[in-house]
Amino acid sequence: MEKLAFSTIDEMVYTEQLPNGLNVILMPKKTLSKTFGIFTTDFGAADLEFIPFNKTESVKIPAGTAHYLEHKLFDKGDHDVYADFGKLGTDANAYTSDSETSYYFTTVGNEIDNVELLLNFVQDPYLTDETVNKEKGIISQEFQMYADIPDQRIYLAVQEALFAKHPVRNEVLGTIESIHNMTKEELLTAYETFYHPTNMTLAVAGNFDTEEMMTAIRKNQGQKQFPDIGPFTRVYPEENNEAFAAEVTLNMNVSVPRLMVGVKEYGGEIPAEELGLRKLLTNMTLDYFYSRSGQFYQELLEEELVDSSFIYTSVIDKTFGFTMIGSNSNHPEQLAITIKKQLHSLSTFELEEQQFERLKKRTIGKTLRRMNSIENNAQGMIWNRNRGLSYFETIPAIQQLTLDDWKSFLLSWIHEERMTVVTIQPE
Amino acid sequence: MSIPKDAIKSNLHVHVLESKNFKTITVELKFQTLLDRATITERTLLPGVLRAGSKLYPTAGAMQNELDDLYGASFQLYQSVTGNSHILTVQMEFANERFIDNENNLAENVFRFINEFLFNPKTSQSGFDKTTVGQEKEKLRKNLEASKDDKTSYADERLMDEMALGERYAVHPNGYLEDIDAITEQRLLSSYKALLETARIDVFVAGDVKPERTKELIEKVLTGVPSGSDLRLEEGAALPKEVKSVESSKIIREIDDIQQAKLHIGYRTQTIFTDDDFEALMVGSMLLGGHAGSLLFTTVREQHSLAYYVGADLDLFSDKLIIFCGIAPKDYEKTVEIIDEQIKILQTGTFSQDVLEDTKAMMVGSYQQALDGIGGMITTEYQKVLTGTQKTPQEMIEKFKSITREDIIRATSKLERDTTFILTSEEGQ
Repeated sequence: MEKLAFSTIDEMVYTEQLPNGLNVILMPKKTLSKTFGIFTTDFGAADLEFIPFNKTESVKIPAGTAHYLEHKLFDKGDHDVYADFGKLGTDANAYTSDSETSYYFTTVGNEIDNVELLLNFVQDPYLTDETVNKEKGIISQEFQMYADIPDQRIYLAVQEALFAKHPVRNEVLGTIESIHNMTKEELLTAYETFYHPTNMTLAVAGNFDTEEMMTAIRKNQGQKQFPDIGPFTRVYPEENNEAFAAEVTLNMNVSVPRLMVGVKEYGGEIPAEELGLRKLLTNMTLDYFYSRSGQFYQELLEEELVDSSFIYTSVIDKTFGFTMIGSNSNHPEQLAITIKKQLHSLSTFELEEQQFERLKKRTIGKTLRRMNSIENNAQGMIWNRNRGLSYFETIPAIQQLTLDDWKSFLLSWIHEERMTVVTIQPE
Repeated sequence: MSIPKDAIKSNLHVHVLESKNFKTITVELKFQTLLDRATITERTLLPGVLRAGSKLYPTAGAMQNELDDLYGASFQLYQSVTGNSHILTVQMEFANERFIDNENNLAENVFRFINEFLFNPKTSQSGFDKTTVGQEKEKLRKNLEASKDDKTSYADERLMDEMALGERYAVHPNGYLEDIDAITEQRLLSSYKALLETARIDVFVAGDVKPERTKELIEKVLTGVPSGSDLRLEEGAALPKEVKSVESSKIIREIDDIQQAKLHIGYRTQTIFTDDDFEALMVGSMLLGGHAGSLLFTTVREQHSLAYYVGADLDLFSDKLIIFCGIAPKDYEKTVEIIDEQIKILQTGTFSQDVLEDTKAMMVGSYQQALDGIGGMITTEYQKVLTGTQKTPQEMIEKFKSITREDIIRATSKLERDTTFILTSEEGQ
């Protein structure tokens, strides 16, 4: 067990890689009553093709496989895993993103029982044709629910408009067709590669004894057999950095039009160091200009182009990155023109040292607020480690940023051919 | 009942919640008044108008510079509705100085900032800033128009329009479109002054802080708090004065162009927070539809695959329980039938011992967990004020543990179906 002390922010982290390859992260915090456990596979909706260990041919799986598996691992045929957690007084749940699938619980008491249950249910799939078929109705309803939500539709439409081939353009759930055609065999194929311990991380944070917890985890894993496999290769289609479509309009049952400007950051793999830097600087830039007090947001508000539905968001990941800025608006064309003009102006924006120092202070405060939560910290540890970054060194990383870093980021951030404009118009 | 030892002025109730679990300190000021159809739209505008600027920090940029200098303190102003009361909240969360080199005045500066924004707002002549008010009115108008697009909240609102007709509780928490035009910057300022004069004011400070020093700071810095008034609410004002029984249950059906129908059913509980049966009702509601092992989830979703989401929600500050789900339009009758069966199972106590024990354990766990967070600590402390009880979360936890099948039968047999609201497509006709 390796011990990492982050004394400037009162955090202590223990890590270990078990003989079967599983990564374990423990973050004890004895003053809390609760404990959060999360078991994550580095496998999400955008992982649709891979070359298994010792093979030369790649294997393709259908859109929505990761999410479908997430649902099915809770189903044990004669009972549901929710019920097992229920007996421990625990609520468990799961989510699938473009790049990972996570199973988690929060408990007060019975910490080791909960961790064992979490490991056991995820590592013991019960898949039959019958149980796989049963899920189709539920996932289809989930799909329909999102289909009626305009904000979900526009978010997905931007991803589709930015990326030509990269599977991040797909809905996490897949399509109604892929949901209905899902088979047990396809789910198992994905499971065998992506749910191998070498591709997974367990993080536990909260009130427990570190030694006892680690011993229980070692014992639990030592009792199980996993095939001895080496690394597999993920395959992504060739994707350039230009937006796939410059403009898209959808019609939907809405009363006010919605507009979203999308920026394609990149469509292929980038190195860890660049990933960390881009994530910080993209988010800091968006906060600086588009938060409620930001100059650009204020301009949009004064011109009555946006309302309080205004949002901006950015996803910066290993093989893809994108940014979205938009709002409900009665003048979507004008809003698109203005946001694009603002973004273009950044390459020559006059910036001063004092502004950047204030922005750094703001970002440090925000980071401390986020680190109040053991849930955020456990997820943050996994996310960063899977990308070669160090979560609890975020604050020093912010402190080290210079005005020149910011300037050179802004100089090359925005390109017309990487942007898209998506509008939802009332029917 | 007030807490004299903590009352700095006769109407400022101070609650210091010490905890070493956080890297930040949170301050919340809460202004509680009675929910009112006549003032709700104005109240909805206030957070945005106040946040737009003060005399010292008249622009968003000036305000943000100050917040940045406070190490990125967050500054939230929002309104909410709890039972029969309206609450305006100012919240700031800021880094504990101990994690930052060379900082020791953060807390004082944060209180100064709050005092400035609440009691020295940007005004001109006899009203708030005209441009700001215009912008906020426009934002609210758009919000209310767009809220029709969120079918789930639309169904919630329509259900309460019908079910709580004539009650204070039916007032829309975000105001009314038709009231916006008549609001002027003068009227809004006098409405705000009236709020400050009449609201019950509670201030919460949570984190790794020293109580005495915190109270001194509040006394020294929050100088704008107006003096006492007889109109201020007593504790317990959030709860209904009386509970209602159902004379005849109604079904309201609306048609819209949607893929998924929204079925929302409201029940009267005949029980409120201060009643002895309330904890049993809370456990009953959770057993019915509050977790993945609940009666509704295991039947409507798992057994019959009718819905992705289905649940039951008991309002702690009212006498109402709501069941909600999203279903295929054609499945309406079948779903209602299954829901009725589950209510019957609950009321007759014919559920398994396992699901009862699981639910109780979860209820206990979720209360304990809530107390680990800043938000949960403040919420449970404020709950005492809103309901007028001294019931602590620990006492409630003990009571959850002792709930029996008979307790649940007694508490839930009082449930009566009041109103069913179904938003469906042509196909579901």
